[in-house]
Amino acid sequence: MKTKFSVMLTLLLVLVVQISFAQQKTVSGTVNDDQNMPLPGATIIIKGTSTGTTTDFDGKFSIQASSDDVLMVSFVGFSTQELTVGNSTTFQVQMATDNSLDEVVVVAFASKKRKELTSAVSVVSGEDLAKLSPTTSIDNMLQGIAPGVQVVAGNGKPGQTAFVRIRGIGSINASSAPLYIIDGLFAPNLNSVNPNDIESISVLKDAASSSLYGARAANGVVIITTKAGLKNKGATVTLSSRLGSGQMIRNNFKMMDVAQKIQYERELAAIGVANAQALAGPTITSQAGYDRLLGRETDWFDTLLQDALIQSNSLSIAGGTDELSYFMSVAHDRNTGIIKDIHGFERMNARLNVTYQAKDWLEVKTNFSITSTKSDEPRDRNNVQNPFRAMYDYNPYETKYQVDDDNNILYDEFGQPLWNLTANGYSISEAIVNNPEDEFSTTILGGISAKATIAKGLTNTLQLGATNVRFRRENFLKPNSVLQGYVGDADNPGQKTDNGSMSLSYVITNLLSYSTKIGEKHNLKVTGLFEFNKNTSRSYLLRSIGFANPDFSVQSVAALPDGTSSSLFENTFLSYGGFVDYGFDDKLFITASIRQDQSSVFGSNNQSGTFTSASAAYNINDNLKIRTSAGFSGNSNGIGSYSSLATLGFGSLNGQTTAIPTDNGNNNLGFEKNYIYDIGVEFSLLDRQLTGVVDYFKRTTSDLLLNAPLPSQGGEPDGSIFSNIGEMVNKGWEVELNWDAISTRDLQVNIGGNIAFIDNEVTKLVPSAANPNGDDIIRGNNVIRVGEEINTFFLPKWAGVNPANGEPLFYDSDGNITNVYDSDANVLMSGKSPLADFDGGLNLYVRYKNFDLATDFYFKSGNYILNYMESNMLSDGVNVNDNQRVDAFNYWQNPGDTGVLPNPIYGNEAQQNSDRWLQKGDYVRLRNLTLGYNLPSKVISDIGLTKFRVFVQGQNLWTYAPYFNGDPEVGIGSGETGNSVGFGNYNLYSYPTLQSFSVGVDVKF
Amino acid sequence: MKNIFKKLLLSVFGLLLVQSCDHELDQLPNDSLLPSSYYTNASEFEFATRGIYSAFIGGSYYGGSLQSLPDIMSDNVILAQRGRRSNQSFHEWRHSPNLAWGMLYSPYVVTNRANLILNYIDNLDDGPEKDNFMGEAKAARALALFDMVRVYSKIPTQSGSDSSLGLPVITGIDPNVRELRPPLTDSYQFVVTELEEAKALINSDNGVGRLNKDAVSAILSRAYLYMGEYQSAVNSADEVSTPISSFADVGQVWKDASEAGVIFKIDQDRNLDGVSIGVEWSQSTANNEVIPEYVVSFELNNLYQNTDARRNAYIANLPDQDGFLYNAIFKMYGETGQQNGVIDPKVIRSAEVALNKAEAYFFLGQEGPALTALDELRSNRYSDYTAGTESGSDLLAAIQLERRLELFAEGHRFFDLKRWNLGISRSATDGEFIDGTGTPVPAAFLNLSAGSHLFEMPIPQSEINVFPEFQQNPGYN
Repeated sequence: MKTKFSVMLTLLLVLVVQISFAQQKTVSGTVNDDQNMPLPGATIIIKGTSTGTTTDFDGKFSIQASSDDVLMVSFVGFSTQELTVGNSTTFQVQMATDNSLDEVVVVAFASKKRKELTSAVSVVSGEDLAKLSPTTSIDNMLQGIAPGVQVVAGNGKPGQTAFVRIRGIGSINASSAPLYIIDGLFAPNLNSVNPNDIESISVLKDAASSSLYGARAANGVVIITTKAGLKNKGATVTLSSRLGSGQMIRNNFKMMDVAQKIQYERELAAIGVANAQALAGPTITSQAGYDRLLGRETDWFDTLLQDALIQSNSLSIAGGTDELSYFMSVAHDRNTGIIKDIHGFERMNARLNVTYQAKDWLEVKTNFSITSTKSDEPRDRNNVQNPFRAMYDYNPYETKYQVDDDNNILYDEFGQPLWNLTANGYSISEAIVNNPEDEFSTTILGGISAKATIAKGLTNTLQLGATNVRFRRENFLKPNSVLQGYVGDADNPGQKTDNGSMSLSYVITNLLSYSTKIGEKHNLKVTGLFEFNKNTSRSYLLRSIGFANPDFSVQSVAALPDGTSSSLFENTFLSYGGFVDYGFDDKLFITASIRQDQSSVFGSNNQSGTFTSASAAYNINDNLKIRTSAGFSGNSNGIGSYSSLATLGFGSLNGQTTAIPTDNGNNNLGFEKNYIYDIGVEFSLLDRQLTGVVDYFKRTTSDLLLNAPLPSQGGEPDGSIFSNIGEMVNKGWEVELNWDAISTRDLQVNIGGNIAFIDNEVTKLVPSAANPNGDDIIRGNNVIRVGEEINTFFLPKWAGVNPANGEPLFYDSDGNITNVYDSDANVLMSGKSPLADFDGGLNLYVRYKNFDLATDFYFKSGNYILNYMESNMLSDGVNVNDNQRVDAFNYWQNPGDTGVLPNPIYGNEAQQNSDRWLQKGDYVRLRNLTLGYNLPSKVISDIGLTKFRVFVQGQNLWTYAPYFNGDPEVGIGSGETGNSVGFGNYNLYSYPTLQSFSVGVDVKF
Repeated sequence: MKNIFKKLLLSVFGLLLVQSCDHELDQLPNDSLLPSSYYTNASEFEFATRGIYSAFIGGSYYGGSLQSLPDIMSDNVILAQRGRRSNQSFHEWRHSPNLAWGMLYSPYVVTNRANLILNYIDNLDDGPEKDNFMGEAKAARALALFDMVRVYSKIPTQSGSDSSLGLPVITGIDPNVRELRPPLTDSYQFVVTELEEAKALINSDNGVGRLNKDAVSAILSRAYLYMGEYQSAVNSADEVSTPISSFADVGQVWKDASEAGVIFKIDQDRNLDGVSIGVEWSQSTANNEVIPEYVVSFELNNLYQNTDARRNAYIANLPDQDGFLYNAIFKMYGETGQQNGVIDPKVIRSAEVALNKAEAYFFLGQEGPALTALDELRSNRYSDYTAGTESGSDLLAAIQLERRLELFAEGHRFFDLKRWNLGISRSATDGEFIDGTGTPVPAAFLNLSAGSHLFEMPIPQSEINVFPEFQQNPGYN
């Protein structure tokens, strides 16, 4: 293959030489790496052209060039070298390892060298990603990688996206999620990208870089650039395949077995706990009965769960000719998840990126990807319809199927085993089979652009792009299901819901850019931006009841339509911007930007927002750089498409149409403002072996959207006006260090780490007569209060167990200890909130000859979580009819007992909402451990390959959580339970985190 | 140069694309309209007028509290200990600005909807149709203000009402309006002036689900009675032509099977609207057991004669899930065959008009016509009716008794005691069960003396918070 390509390339070059560049000469040479070994695959391009070649396996190259030309020799991981041809015809090139200052970083609407950067940007390259543990969603991979980018996994469900927060929580009622840009297009989330397609991820953390995206960038910007083919390079085929198995992460506690549960029930019945009296334990008197229960021992974890099958295969082909380069890929991912009889998540991706030099002054480009997912969904709610609640609740002596006195399974007339409805009156195994729910989505991202070089230094780029997401959900309550008996219509059994949405976002961007060099040392670049964006989203819902047959779920067979609705929302943005970049002698860099966004969602008095920024960086020397930036950006996410408008809607009374004012709108409604001040130092020591970045930032978000109540007398329909009022400050430090401890040909050791400290304080809310700084906003067990961290816990305070009698004690609203619980005696738990004080990552990379080992740790500290699951499993006898944790035995029994649970006789008094279950969520987790082996190049070149790597990988293999019982990685507490706080405030049986082992192979030729 | 021009074309094209998008900046919702573009023809006014009535049915207004709290706060009902104890703080007169009855919101939403109609009314051509819409809107906002001042202010017949504050008269459409409370007389003056104007405009045949000429006259008779303008009360009552429901109809009316004697009600659909006003009194199980909140006080229960049509229409002997029997409130139990508490709230009935007239005549010193008006009602309620013979204070007592019996659980008792300058006294011994056993009202909540500041509901603290200058009622600071 390699030879064929070389021949073709040579032929091509010969032709070129003869036709147009007869006066040129052949220049040849060898490229060696820093260890003086030949470097195959290095790229040689004649500067300012697209003519180039690559070195062969022996590091040799040959190219036609004239004596004025400059050859640029580049290879990933090494600094690019420039050689003036002059009179030479042969070159011996020795490459030096990469100087990261020359690394190219993608920023808003441009790329810059790292040393030119004036703002806080975290970069994750495709290679970095390859070292990480791939998951189906890239956002999860960013955890612990970039300081200041906090990633909390939603839950362990395959395909679940994560909560990504850049420099803290940025809003109260609007979204705090960053803006995602994929190849210049607005993307809905990161779930639609194949991780193998990614060239680089840039996280714009400060306003000077994100301000260029204006009213959508307040929560930071994540820019993803996908791979492109190299010009004049034969097709490179890359194959990646991985096969693995996943399990629920192990609990750091134990549930009772049959003997223990019977014992527990008997103990509680003996001390007089009412709801224990009728349970199996105390009511069985004979040894035979006891043995029968023992014989029914069911491990509900085993019964309901399976090992997940994790599969991932991807293929890409990249290459290019003189005028055209391409990258195409297809991928398939599957993760069955760990619930028996649920098929889990499946995704197909396809991508085509093409760049074509249409004229010497015109480059056209297209990026196109399509992603299709299917997910078989479990219920994620806090009741028996959730298998992850059932596996804890179901008693170990309860069986999946009904059994007779001899513990033989009972069958119905068709020979099917009969489901056992358990003490919960429900069989989750049955529900999984008979109440299926499936979600399907198709995401298409496509963009075309044309870049014209109008004159020297003057370019115009026009890009048109669209993002289309189609989502569809089906939920079928089969007519013969148990749930039907509980919630269905008896006359019309069975219910089917089909709902879905279609969103289309298109963007037209035009960038006119002029760059020039003034004198020897002044570089100036001026860019003008016009952009238009329109977003449309539609949804529908169809529901019918009355299904004759459990096998047919299309609604055409239903007896009765039960509900329909549809909706349509549209909004638009029109933007202008001007950006200036100035550089002096590769030392001093200054940027300034201004952008104006007009949007249909803003109130008529506030129809445009202007965002400015400025930044500067000074490279004192190659080892030390200081930079500072300040700027504004906006958050228009929280404004509904029509929130600013006075509206009159339609309803009905007594079956007749009514027209009623629905909202008075707010002509002054605008985006939430974000101002970030950032100062940073980038340094290197020990001959660049140790590099580091330190940033301090202060982020003030103001004009936060809040509902300002109005006096009733105005008759405002919803009683309040949605207005820009609140203010919040996030500030903190980010430190990133990387140490190339050893870097020899055979042994490479690299240690990296990062940590980010963040402080949040709410500084202004809706003022009232009682609270001029703003009234509290109470969200369940959390409060948003001026002067405190957002969502600080707000709960009655637990005072422990009375050693004298085992009674539960609480603090009353005056701070006195009492045995009378008062649900209104809420106390601000200052400093305790779901927000971490700091988090970060630590990674170690070791390569010895062809073996490599990568480990990634993630750590997080200072956040608090309400451990509701523990309160159910140590329920002080209240849930004695469900299975309990083994340590539930540790209850008060004798006067003087301390360090015990309350006496279960006081169970109802004890099981009250309080900070008893509020636990510190600190943890360290080994996220990834990968051991890889690259077959020696001598071996693989014989079979025509350039890379053959095998690896084994383990994810989430070890966790240290000193204060929290259960999995401390809490994101979505309960998927179907409303949570105004957002995430991380409680655990309530959502999909558990998985640990997995996989083996994989990467092949390239 | 030519080349540059070609290249520039591309950039110009981009600019043009963006520029052509400029008009896209105006986006309107797809499920609602701007109010300023509505109210253009009779059918739009028709829909908007129906919208007024849907605001009357709010849970703190005719859809709940205004029907229940005036009885809960008086001597008509007693708390059932085995219930959910809803509204217990009102039953025990523990209301305060932080524990207040929020009845400003719904009536002012009614006002706002009426004001919008009146604001745009000139989009219609003059004529009876326009007059009728105006009449309904004016009557609606007058009723809304009247209802609010009954709750939050003194009633003009009460002693000390001269210094009492009313509530702002809002006729504009600005949602940000902040008006202080005017003198009480201003509010009442607006109510009667507006109703008199409405009477001249409104149709007679709008039906009982809409305000109509009879309804306006009937409400006027109540307003004048509250104001102590007895001759006007009589005059207005005389203009009401709807006859009192017959003995046979009484039960049917409270199953929504008959509209006899109903002048104005909020007509709702059991399934589509489903506002359960009966849930204020009790819920019920599939086995026809009740989960009572409040039941008929033993004292009142004993005042209903066995010959009284209301005895079985208003009260039912029902058990709870544990078999305890109650004199359960049956008036809002549900339509025929239903027990979900969904019943059309009755705003005014001709029986009340007769009682208004009887009382007004009595205070005018015309006991003959007063007795006639009272007997007009009694003749339709008792199977063993004989003409009354009462006079003097006995006659007044008879009128007051009949008012209590007839309008039970419809939100009158508290206001009636208040405007008669009477206190509230409850039995210290009677409990909630069918035979008067059970748990009596705690001693602290047996008596509320006449003139107590607790007769005027506190302005909710949430209102004061957003409008600190808004005047709180005396006794609540």
